[in-house]
Amino acid sequence: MTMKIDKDLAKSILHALEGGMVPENGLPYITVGRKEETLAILHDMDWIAQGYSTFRLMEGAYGSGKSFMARLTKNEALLRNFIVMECDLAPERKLCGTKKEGLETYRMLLSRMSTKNHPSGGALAQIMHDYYEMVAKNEADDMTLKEKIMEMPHGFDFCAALDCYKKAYEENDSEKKMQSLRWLRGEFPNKTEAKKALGLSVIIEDSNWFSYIKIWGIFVREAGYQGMYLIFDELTQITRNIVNSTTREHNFERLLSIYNDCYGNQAKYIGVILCGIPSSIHDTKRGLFSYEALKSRLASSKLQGEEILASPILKLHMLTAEEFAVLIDRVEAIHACLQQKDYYFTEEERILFVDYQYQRIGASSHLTPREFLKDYMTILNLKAEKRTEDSMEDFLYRAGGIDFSASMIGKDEEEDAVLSYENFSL
Amino acid sequence: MTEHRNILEEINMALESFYRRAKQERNRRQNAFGFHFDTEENRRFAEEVKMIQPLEAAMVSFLDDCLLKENWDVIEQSLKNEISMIPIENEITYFSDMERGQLLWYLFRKQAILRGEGNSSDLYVFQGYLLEVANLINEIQAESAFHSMIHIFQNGIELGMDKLLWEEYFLRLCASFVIANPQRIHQVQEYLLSVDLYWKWDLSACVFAGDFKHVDRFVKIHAKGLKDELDANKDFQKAAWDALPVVFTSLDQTFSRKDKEGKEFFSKIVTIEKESKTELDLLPVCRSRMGQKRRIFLSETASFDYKMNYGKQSKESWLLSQAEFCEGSREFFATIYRYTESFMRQYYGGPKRKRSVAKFLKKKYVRSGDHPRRILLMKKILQDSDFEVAIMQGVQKYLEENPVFKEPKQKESAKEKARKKIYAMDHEEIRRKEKVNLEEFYKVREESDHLKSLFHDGIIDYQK
Repeated sequence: MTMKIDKDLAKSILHALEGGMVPENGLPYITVGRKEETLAILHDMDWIAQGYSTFRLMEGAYGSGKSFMARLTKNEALLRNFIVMECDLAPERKLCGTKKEGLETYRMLLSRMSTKNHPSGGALAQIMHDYYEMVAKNEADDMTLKEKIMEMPHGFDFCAALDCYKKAYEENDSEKKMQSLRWLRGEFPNKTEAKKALGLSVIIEDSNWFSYIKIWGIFVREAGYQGMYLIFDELTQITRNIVNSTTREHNFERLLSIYNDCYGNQAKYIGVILCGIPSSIHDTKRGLFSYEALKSRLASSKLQGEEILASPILKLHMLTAEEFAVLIDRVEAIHACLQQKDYYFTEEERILFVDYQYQRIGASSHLTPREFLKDYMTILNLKAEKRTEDSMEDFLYRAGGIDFSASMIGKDEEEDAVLSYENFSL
Repeated sequence: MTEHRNILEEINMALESFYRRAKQERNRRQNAFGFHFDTEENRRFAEEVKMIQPLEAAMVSFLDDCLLKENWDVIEQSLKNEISMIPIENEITYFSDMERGQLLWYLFRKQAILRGEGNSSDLYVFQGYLLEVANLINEIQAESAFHSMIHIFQNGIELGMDKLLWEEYFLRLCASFVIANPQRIHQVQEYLLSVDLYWKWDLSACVFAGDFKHVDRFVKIHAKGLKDELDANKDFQKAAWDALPVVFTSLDQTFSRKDKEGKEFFSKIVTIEKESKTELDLLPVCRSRMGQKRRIFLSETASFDYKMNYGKQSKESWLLSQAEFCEGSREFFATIYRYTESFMRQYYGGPKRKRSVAKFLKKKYVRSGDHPRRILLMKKILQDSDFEVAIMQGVQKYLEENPVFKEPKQKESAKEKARKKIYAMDHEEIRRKEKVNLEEFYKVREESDHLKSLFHDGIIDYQK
């Protein structure tokens, strides 16, 4: 069956896979073996759209597909009219810190605010503009929004900033608009500057940034979106990489309050996803599980079994052989459709490739989807252009076989003949 | 009694100054010998003796054998163990730290003592050296140290040393041993009784008396330090010596691949440049090999050839033929050894040893044996990025074949085990499989199709 896929989309998918990257679009075509995780995320989106909030930890070993799932979530959220904000945690961007690392995280989130029309970030100005356009056309009720926001901590301050923007919008004052956006993005370094620019005597700070995120959740809903997703990567930056235990604990406390807000209905229309390696979660010395309050909330129930909808932790296991086989099946179909074909190889040949990869020395530690697909793409490109008549066996075993990536087994044993040192002559 | 007390006091003072000089210095053993070697008297004595050259040759040959890790069975048993019963492995470890002059001194003193030449000051020197060696061995195994001393004593008697002189030396040695190892005093006493020497020695003066306490402490401190150093070093050094042939092979393979002409130039550049021949008429080997007077190989590079000079006075002798590495080759090897040991230390998690080729690169090798083209090639090899890689590969290969790594002494706690397990999850291994299960394959494919239908169709334009 010929894959029905747009040719440009097919090319962009294949191009990304050749380079070992996650494609920007078309991820559902190559989503294999992530049934529970995908169902959990889609369920979360429905839940968020109904006014709840969710908190998920995406746990996976190196090369297990965390970036893939994060991109899949983002794309699906954008298509469902969510706002997505991404942030890679770093030494200078944590959940809190003495050098305003928390505020830096907030700033990064706001600067990477994305919508379907602004998927690469920087959508805040457009969102604000569109909202006040709706208000001007009576398509949105500003008072209702303010009432909802004022009920929340720091709601008054947020409303004051919104009023500044509204006034600037009505007066078409781009300077004031910019200052208002600057305030909303937490970029005023001190209250004096904020007072001077907007007449506001408060600013967003390291200690209260998530309170403003919760307010944003309400705002984006009123602005016509389904909700808001926060995607954090590099969880290790607040676990293993923080040497000082006090700092680490403060970050865990902040994470705990985010978790409590999400599950305790203090936050609405917000989905939080954190991606990290297993040790950043399970390490009882420096991981999240070293903080008892987090451990008791995050640890999976003994009765849970395979059911992961209820668990905050989504474990991404390495793909099985069958899942790899289906993955290359999909990739081949995409590649072949560009040549107006269904497939190049038979099912048995694809399975032969998977078996071959699994027999390689070092496969157990080196074989990731990235390596797998890069190798398969090499074969597909050759098959499509140069070696059209060769079978999979020819590619794998016969003379002129493929020199795969660096993780290939070592050279032929005969080449490494060990000279006994008795023959070492002087 | 008074006489013996005076002797013991002399010993104490000598020990004290001996160890004070050796204390806490990196080249402890070298400096200790430097102290003894550098006295004018000893140097003159050494120069006068004509046996210096063959002994030098023997020493070089000995070093070469260590370097090439020749099979010790090739060397005659008498040569190996006649002079002393110090375990050979310890001797190698010990020698690796010694300078050329010190090695010469060591061999020379051995020969001199065996021939019955020397005076009390020589004995002091030799005693100091043997105490050092005994201490070293002692900290490895006190028993073997004591037996070494006994054998030295017995050898001396059997080989016709001046009895009184030899006994005096031995008693001094015993006294020093007891100071260092007071717990062994009974063992020493029993032996002295058995050889009827007990009456000559007032052991009460040696037993933990106040006069000797500070010396005892001195010795113990240094012995401990030596032990720590030995324990820290011996594994690396021994393993490094053992790994050298594999390292050479790795270097040979790496650089022969690089040589465009296809010649194995690595092994060729370290050729022997000089061959020396020395006639010796007094060597232990000749005594035991009277029946087979042809050729005895010490190693690939050294051999003894029996020689008979006929004439008015026929004379039997042994001609020592041995090839000698030129200075450049020797230091090239030394650099390779240092890198090998450095990697071995890294593997063992021991104290680091700096790796540097700067010394070799800076030096100008101008002796006749150091051919400029060969030196240039050696320098080129050392500067090549594959030099270090080849040595590292050699070390790894050796360690794969010879798992010398010891299990940690402390048991891993359950917490540590659990942590390691968690960190192992960061690099999850894929589950090995013989073949793809077709049933499972179809099931996964169906699920993927279903999953695809759950997602929205649409394209996000990231270029915006």
